[in-house]
Amino acid sequence: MTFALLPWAAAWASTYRYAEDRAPAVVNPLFTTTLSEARLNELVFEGLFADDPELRSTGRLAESFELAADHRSMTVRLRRDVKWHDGEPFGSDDVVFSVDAYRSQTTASTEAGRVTWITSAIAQDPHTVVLGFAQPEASPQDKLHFKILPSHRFTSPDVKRTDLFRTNPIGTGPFRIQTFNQDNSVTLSRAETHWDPAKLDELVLREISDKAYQAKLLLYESLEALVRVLPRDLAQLEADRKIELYPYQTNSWWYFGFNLGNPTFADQRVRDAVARMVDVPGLLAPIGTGDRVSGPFVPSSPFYDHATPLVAYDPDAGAALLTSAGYTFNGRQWLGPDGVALKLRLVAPSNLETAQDVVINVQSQLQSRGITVEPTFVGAAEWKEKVWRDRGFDLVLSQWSYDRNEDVWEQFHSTGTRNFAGFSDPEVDQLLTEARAAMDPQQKKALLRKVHARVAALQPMVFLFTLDSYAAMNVKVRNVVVHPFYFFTWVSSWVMGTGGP
Amino acid sequence: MPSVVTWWSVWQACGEADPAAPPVVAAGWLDEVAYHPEAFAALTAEHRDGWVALHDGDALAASRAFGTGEHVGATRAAIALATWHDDVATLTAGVHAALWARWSEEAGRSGAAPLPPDAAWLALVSGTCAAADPGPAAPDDVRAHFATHRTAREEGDTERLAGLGEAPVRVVPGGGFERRSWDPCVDAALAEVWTDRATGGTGAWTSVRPDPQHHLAWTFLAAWPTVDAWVDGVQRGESPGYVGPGAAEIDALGVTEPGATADEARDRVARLGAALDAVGARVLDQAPAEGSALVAELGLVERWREALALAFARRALQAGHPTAAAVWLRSVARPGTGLRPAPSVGVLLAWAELRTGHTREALAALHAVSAHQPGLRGVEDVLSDLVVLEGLGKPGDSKEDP
Repeated sequence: MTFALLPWAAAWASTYRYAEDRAPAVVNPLFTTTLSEARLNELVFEGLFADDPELRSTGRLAESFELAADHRSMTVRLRRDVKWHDGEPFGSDDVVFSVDAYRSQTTASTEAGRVTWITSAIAQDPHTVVLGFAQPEASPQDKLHFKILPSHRFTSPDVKRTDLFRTNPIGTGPFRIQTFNQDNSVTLSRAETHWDPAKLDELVLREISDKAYQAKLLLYESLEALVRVLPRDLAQLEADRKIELYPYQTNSWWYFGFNLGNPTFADQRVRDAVARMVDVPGLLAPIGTGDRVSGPFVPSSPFYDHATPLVAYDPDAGAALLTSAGYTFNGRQWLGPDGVALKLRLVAPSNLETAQDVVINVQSQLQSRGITVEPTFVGAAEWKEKVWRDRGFDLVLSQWSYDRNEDVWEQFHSTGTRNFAGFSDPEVDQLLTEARAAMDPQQKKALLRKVHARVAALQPMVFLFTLDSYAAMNVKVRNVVVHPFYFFTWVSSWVMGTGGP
Repeated sequence: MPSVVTWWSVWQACGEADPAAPPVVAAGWLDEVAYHPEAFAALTAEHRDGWVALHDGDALAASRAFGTGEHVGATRAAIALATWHDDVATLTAGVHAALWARWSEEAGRSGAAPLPPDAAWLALVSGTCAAADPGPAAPDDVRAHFATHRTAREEGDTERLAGLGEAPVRVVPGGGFERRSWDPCVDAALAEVWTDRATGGTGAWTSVRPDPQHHLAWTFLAAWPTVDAWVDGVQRGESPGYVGPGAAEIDALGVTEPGATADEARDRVARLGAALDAVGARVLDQAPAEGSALVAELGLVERWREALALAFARRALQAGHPTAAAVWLRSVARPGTGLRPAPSVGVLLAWAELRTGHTREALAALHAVSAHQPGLRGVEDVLSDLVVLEGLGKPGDSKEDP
């Protein structure tokens, strides 16, 4: 290489291209439901506080704070050197607006649970906010990680999902969105005015649904990173000295979720029957390695109840359960008490190879046992409407990922914002409430293990498996520390080197 | 393809030397196996099961197979067990210290749970495992447990000590749940007993003087490539888990120390990996067919890579560089290969993660090995308490993925 080429090389070298299975449907922290959206939010938006590399809450938009003696309020002083990506100054009005927007019942934010503990937010001056709490808070900074929105871009805290903000989102984060591209990719450029400017010039999020193709692009250096590597590709990537694997364990598990609002699935015998007719190891084997799960926590979790057995693959027992529920088998299909064939409208993510594999396998498994499965593959935006809003499914295939706190309230409490399956059980509600209030770790462990056992017994979903999860990155990206959940939290320190030792 | 065990049998039966073996032995025991397969056959002609178990990373089974005689294999197994229990003891001490420090800090806050009733004796014991004395204020059953612990340690009764670590010291009702307390000193005691066995009761590693006549027995599968490397290492004051790096053969592979940062460690891991790959290629190309097949089938290059990574990781941890240690350990975690890494990989990775504040990740690393190691139940339970304690009052986040 000649010196004349170096500027050209440098220009390319500072573009970081990473692959997501699916591009985000919405770039608005109020309506974030997927991890790919959360990862993008981490680049564009900021909270008052964020994790430092040792996972302690540290000031981001907050410069300092004082907690009242009774721990029922705190005064937060904001950084004065922060600007929104459109050049407007950031200030206390934005914090007040954001709390109001998350809390607004009209907004119906999927993140509303993040502010329910805040009773008031008052702008004391342009750079000082006083937050009031419903209960004394020992470490409120640990709860103030939700992303702050620009008040000047909205007319009211009652924000609609379709608000124009989604087409031109701005934040205070280290990268600003430059373009949404025709191929679903998103180009981001460094926010030059950021108080801690990123070292990378540009990031490109590329939507690539084919995992094998993702791996090839990384090997051919057409990508700098994959955020999710399939276990089957790990050995090949690990063998390439240009590639570094980073553990990216987000405490995730796959499931088939029943629509409990549908009378057919309100009958637990039907749910149990379906669960017994699904050969879970047979679904996992084609897509990778992992562990089966018996309930809503991963096996390494403090809250996993190891005494809860896995549901055994036992189609005959499943058939007996259907019979006891009033179903009859005509030699080809199961017919309900009303004489209608048992059919499952299964909604799954489109363009996702792993999900397609699982759906095709489960369709075959259940079909052979007399249950028809009608799959519908939907895109990210349609998923939010069909699954979250309209509940237009009998069964969904999806995966929940949890941060280190593994809080399943939103999925399994009857008031949870992510409980689109309609699960409701007073005992689980009570256990979750007690667990949230528990201040003794051993007590909390015991309570949530009961949640695990109780939810497993009620079978609102067919609990499937975890998948061993790694991210992969080209070794030329240096100084990388990956946040165990949000991935990009410390992206500002990442640099593009020349590639390897 | 023959199984690993089949290869053991084949080479046990072989025993014929290749007179054309090359004179250069740059990679210590690995070259010795490759170029002198007859030496390997002679080694495994006796106590074959012990060497198989050592190869499988099951030092306890190796120890049982080797027996308690003067056989070098028995000493090698004792060295491996002393190292393993020392790794677990280090993690256990760190987990207990972190838990009690954090809980004491939390207990001072309004509305927080007080320290559990057993905290006082647990903190006392975990801080001074050499005494293993919970103090006169401890409950009778706790004092009785530690009396048994001390007796077992003095008598060198490893099975009894191990049993003490596989069940809680006591289980008491905590108001709707059971509160379990575990002996935090079992692995420290086991490390001491196995060290005594390996060192003939002196406790000094310099007293372990390998006989060069049994070079392969003293070095096979170890991070130290030669007996000279062992001698040099222990004379520098290193425990067995640290010996290897610093030897001339390892320096020749291009890595002399583990690095202080993650990037430095990554560079060294890559450099060592490339050098070991070259060793493997050379063996494949130049060694007698029998020897190169043996190296390949038994995965000996990978075994050496793992042993070296562990040694470099321990050095990084000792030097206060847990992020560098984690890189070394992850380099041999073998994701996607279906191979199970040595249990110390999980234990040391848990320790490295804990030291960087990644407590939940530490628990995941430990859980990955605990299913096969009943002695880890206690430290896993206590570590999970710490994970929960750190998350109290914090809202969790969850997302669909995809």
